[in-house]
Amino acid sequence: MRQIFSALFTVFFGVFFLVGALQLPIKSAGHIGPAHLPIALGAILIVLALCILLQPDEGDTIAPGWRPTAAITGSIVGFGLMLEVGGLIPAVILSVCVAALADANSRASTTIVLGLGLSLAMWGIFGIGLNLPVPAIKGLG
Amino acid sequence: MESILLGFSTALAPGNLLHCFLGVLLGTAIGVLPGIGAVAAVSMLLPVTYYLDPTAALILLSGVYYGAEYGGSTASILMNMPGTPSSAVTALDGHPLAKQGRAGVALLAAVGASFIGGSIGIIIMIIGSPLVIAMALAFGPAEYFAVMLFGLIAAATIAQGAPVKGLAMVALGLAFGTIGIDLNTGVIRYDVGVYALYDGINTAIIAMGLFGISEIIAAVRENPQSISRFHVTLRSMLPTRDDLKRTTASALRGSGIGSLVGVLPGAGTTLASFLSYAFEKRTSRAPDQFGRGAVEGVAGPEAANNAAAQVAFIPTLTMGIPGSATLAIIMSALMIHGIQPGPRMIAEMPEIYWGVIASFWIGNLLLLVLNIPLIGLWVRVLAVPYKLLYPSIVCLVCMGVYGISNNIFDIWLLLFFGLLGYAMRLLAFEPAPLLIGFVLSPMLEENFRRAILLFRGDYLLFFVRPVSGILLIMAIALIAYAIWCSARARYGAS
Repeated sequence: MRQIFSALFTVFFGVFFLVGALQLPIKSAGHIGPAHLPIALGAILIVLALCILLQPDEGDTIAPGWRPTAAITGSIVGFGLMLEVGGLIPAVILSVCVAALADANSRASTTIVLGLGLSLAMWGIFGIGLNLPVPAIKGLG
Repeated sequence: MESILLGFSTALAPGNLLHCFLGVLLGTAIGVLPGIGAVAAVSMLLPVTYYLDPTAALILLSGVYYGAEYGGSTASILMNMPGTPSSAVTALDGHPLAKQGRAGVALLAAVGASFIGGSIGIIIMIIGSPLVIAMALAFGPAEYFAVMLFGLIAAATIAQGAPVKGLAMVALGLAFGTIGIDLNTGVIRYDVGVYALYDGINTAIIAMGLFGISEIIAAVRENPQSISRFHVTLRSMLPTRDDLKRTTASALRGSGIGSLVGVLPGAGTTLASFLSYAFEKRTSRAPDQFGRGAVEGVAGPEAANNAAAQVAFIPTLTMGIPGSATLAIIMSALMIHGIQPGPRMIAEMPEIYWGVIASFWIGNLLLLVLNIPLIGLWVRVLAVPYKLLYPSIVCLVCMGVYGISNNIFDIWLLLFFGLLGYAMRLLAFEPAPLLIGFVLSPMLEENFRRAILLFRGDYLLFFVRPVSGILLIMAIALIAYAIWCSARARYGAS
C-alpha cells in the first residue's frame, strides 16, 4: 500500500508542475526559457513515480495519527486566524489549547497556565524584544 | 597565517563572541530536547539572523548547529533518545555507560572527542580551502551545474532511504524552488493566483514545516518518557587514565574518518559516525564490550561526526554546495544577506570566511568549557514533559514564520509543508534532499542556462569539458546504481 500512495504522491506533483509549466512561454531548446526546468522536473517526477511502483513491496504505510494531525493543524489555523483578529495573546492561548488536544493526557489546568504564561513570554520576546508590529490584544494596541 | 590572525580578531570581537556563545548555548539546549534536532534548531533561529550582520549570523547559526549535535548526544547518552541521527550511534555505548553509573565519563568522552574532532576538522578546513578555491575559480557555469547536480544526486542516493524516493525528493525540491518570479525572464511561475508567492517560498518556512511541525505531529503520539534518572555529578565525570587513553586514541581515529567522509554531500555526519563505530568495533581488542559500554564507541563516532560537520563547510562556503539540510539553511542565511558563497566570497570578504573558521574553533572550545558545569542544567531540561513543550514550539514556530514578512499566508504555507512533511514521513520519503534541492534550484537553473548560452545550444559540450563531463558521468552512474539496486531487490530475491 505504501508504494501506491508514494507513487500517487509523486505523480500528483509531477502532473501539477508539468501542467503548470506547459502554460508558460516555451522557446527552443537552444534558448532556455522559464518553462524548461519545470517541464523536465514534472516529467522526471512522473517517471520516478512509475519507478516507485516497480520497486519491491514495502508493506503498509505507518498509520497516521489523526488526533495529533488534527490538533496541530487546528492549532496553527487557530493561530493564523486569531492573530490578526484578536492579537498575539489570544492567538497563543487558542493555539496552545487546541494543540493540547493532541495529547490525550493533557489536563485543562496545566494547559491554561501554559497558554497564559507562554502568551506573555512570547509578547515579551516578539512584541517588545524584537519589536515586531503585532498587537498584543487587538483593540488595546 | 595572517588570514588566521584576521579570523581570530574578527571572531573575538565582542559582538561575534557573544553570538558564538549564544549559538552554542541555545543549540545545546534545543538539541537536548527530544524531537528537535539540529535542522529544526537552525531553521527556528534563521529568521532572527535576518536582523544581524552576515558574520554574526553565520557564527550564530553554526554555533547552534554543532551545539545541537552535542545536545543530541547528551540526550542519546542519558535517555537513549538521540536528538539527531548522527547521535544515534552514541546511544549504543553511551546509554549502557550511563546505566552503569558512568554517565559522567560518557558525557565527558563525548564532549572531549567532539572537541578533538572539531579541531582536526578545522585544521583540514584551513589547509584544504585554498586548494578547493583554486580549483573552483577555474570553474565555469557548466562545472558548477555539474557539481551541484552531482551533489544533489549523491545526497539523494547515498543517504538514508530508498534512492528512487530520494531522487523524487530532489526533483520535488527543485520544483518548489521554481515557484515565483523567474529572474531571467520576469515570468511568474506557479503563483496559483496568490500574490504572496511572487517572491517564492522562504527557506525558513519550508524548513520549519518539513522538519519542525511534521516532527511534532509524529512525536506527540509516542509520548516519550521524559524522566531522566541519572544523577550526574562533576566528580563522576572524572575519567580514569585508561579511559583518557582510549578516548583520545579513538577520537583521533574518528576524526580521520570523519574528515574523509564529511566532504561527501548527503552522507556527512551520520555516515561518519556509523563508519567510525564499525571501525572501532572491528579493530578493538575487546569487541564484545561494544554495546555494553565501551568508551571508544562513544568517543570515535562523536569525533567523527564533529570532524565531518566541520569539513562539510568546505564545499558549502567555497563552492556554494551544501551537503546537508542544515548547511543548506545556513547557506540560505548568507544568501539572504546578498552574499553568494563561492570562491569569490573568500577573496572579497576574507574577514567573514576566516572569522567564521576561527569562531568554529572558539565555539568548539566553548562547548567543551560550558558543558562540563552545565550538565546538571541539561539533565533538568530533559525532565520537562513533552506535553508542555510541543504547544510552545508550535507557537514559537508560527510566530517566527509570521515575523518574516508579517503575512498570514506564510502561516498557511507552514501548515502545508508541515502536513506534507508528515505525509512524507509516513511514506518513507526523506525530507533533507527536498530542502537541499529547493535551496539549490535557482543556482542550478541559472548555471544551466548560462552554460547552454555559452555552448550555443550544444548539450554535448557538457561532456566534452573534463570536469563537468566526469561529474555528470558520475551522477548518471549513481542514478544507474540506484535503479540497479531496486531492480535487483525486486527481481533478485526470487
